[in-house]
Amino acid sequence: MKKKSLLLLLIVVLCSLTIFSSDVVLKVWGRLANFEEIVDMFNVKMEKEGKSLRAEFVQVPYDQLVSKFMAALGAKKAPDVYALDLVHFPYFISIGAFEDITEWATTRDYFDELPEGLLKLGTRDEKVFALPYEIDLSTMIWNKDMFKEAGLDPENPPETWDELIDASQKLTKDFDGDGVIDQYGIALVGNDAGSYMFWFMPWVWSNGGSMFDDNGNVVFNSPESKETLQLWYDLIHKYKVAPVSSAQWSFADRYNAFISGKIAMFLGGNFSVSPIMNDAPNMDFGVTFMPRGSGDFSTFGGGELIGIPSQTKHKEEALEFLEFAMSDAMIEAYAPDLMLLPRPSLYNNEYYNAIPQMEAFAEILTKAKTPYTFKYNQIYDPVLYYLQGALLDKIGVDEAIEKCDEKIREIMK
Amino acid sequence: MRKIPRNTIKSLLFLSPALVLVSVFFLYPLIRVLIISFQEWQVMGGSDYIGFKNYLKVFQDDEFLQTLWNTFIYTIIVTPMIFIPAVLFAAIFKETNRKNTISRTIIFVPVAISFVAASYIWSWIYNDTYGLLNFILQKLGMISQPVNWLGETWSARFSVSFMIAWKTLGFTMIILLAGLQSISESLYEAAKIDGASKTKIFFKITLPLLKPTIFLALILSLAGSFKAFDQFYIMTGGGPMKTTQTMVMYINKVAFEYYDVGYGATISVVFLGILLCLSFVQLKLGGFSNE
Repeated sequence: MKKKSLLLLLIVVLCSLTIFSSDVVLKVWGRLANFEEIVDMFNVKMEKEGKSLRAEFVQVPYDQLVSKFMAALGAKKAPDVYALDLVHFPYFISIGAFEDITEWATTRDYFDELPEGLLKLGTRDEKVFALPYEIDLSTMIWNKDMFKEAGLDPENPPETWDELIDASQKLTKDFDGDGVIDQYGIALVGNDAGSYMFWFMPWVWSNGGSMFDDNGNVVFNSPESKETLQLWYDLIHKYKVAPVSSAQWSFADRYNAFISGKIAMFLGGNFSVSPIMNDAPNMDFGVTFMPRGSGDFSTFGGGELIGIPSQTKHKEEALEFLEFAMSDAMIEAYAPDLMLLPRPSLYNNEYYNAIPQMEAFAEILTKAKTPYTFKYNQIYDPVLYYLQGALLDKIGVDEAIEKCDEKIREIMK
Repeated sequence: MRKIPRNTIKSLLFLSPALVLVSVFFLYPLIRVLIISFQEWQVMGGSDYIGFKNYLKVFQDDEFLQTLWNTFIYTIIVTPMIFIPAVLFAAIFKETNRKNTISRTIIFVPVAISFVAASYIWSWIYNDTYGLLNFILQKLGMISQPVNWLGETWSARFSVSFMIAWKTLGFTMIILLAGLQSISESLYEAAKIDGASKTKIFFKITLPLLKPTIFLALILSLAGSFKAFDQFYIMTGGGPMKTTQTMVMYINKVAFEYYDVGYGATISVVFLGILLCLSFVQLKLGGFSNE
């Protein structure tokens, strides 16, 4: 009897300790595993400074970024800090899910160097709600060894669409003459709408077209868009330099095809550099812009913004964490894995400097564009359905663009 | 007032953990979803009630009908793919000896891996350009051009079903095994004495007596098939052109892509209703009311 009541007392004391404890533990959510390093470094710093503030990291997989956040918001249990895919910010800011951090953000000395196109997605009515945190840029990656074998200059990847067709034809090979193509010039996208936005839209932009204009009106139905989709269609069905199935491949499938030497050119990003170096250490490869149409090179400015959900009960502490997360500490956390930092002034670091492929990104970043819309998620459905449908030859190219434009307009209403 | 018998209180106490779990993880969410289905749900709170508006929307929703069709077609394809081998394996490996135990274990192993892992493995196997299946078939000279297994509607449906059959028939086999082992040996002995062939014994004795077990396994399997999500989400993305999009994928899309949680809840409720009716029909057909 005595033992039982002692145990009960112990439990009550422990419980009351946790209830009455004043230690703030910030809930920090993010997609990237590297973010945990920032959290660890922050906790170490807090310990050194004798503060009781701590942070706890929760890694959220890519396809749960929205659903998990929505569930948390609905249950009023949003995290204190969230690094979320930038395309979702216009919507979440519009429903008041993020805290206004204008005063703090605009007084940071690095504020002016943050990429404008990405920062725009974290702002509304001149107020700042989130800052660019990690950048993803869509690029073309080419296998220099295959170029050499095909008699092409390995240092000069195709820059225009005509050059692309020409190079791809030389790079598409049936080595053993059995009627089955063993190596394709290029693989297109893809199994999800995000891939079309990230890797197809820049081709439209580089051709002078767009999905939205600066006022948010839908302008997708244009000759420029149709030409772009027609090019992709032709690469598959007319020139046969891209496998038709690549329009259904996931990113992992396309990556695997490149790594295993089935395709000479791959639509990837800065996040591909480190994995390729690990998985294909003997491959000599380069990173460049995706071939341009009648206009200038273009790339999708993707990645993440970081903000403080408005449901937080610890705004000051969260700002302290944010301050740290945006500081030079990010070099140690992200640069070794060659992730792109939001502050170009930090690009001159030992990690980037050691890898020649990273040089291209400073220039690529200058051409980055990011569509701004409150209904980014909702337009995924027609984008995938019509664009993939055209590439799979289930709908005509012109019809696909027209219907897609129509559907997006309906969604925007 | 009559005193509650002690036995009832005791039974309730023993049942209470399960009752609590069912209430928290099943009843409460079910009631919440029902409530949400009548709302235009707002993420940050302040949802309005809109009566039956969402329900009227469902019956005019072409994508809902297409998705319902996809889900049913898949169920119709996959169920025999699971059951025919499961019944055969259960009958073949009925005796408990070393060889059969090993065989049963090998057949059961895929049940233990997650649907997600299985989907990724088979996506690789089925990949038209660098996948294992095409590689083997081409080496054997059985195909001249790579086949895009997951790329066309019907081949995708059958390919994914084959993967699911591979993954789940072990579980069905185990349930059927239990049923088989409860059939009295004396019936088989009598049949053998009368000179009945193996096939005749199987169709005239085994199958009829296995009927209740088959129906139980069927209910479990059908429930699983209707909830198909991971395999199609990962292997086909619902394509081509939404022909392999299943109901749970659609609900997920409506709630978390369109941010229309209210409508997503409504679709769930309607789907639940359809499945309840089907289960009712099944139970009646299985003759369970007589048991």
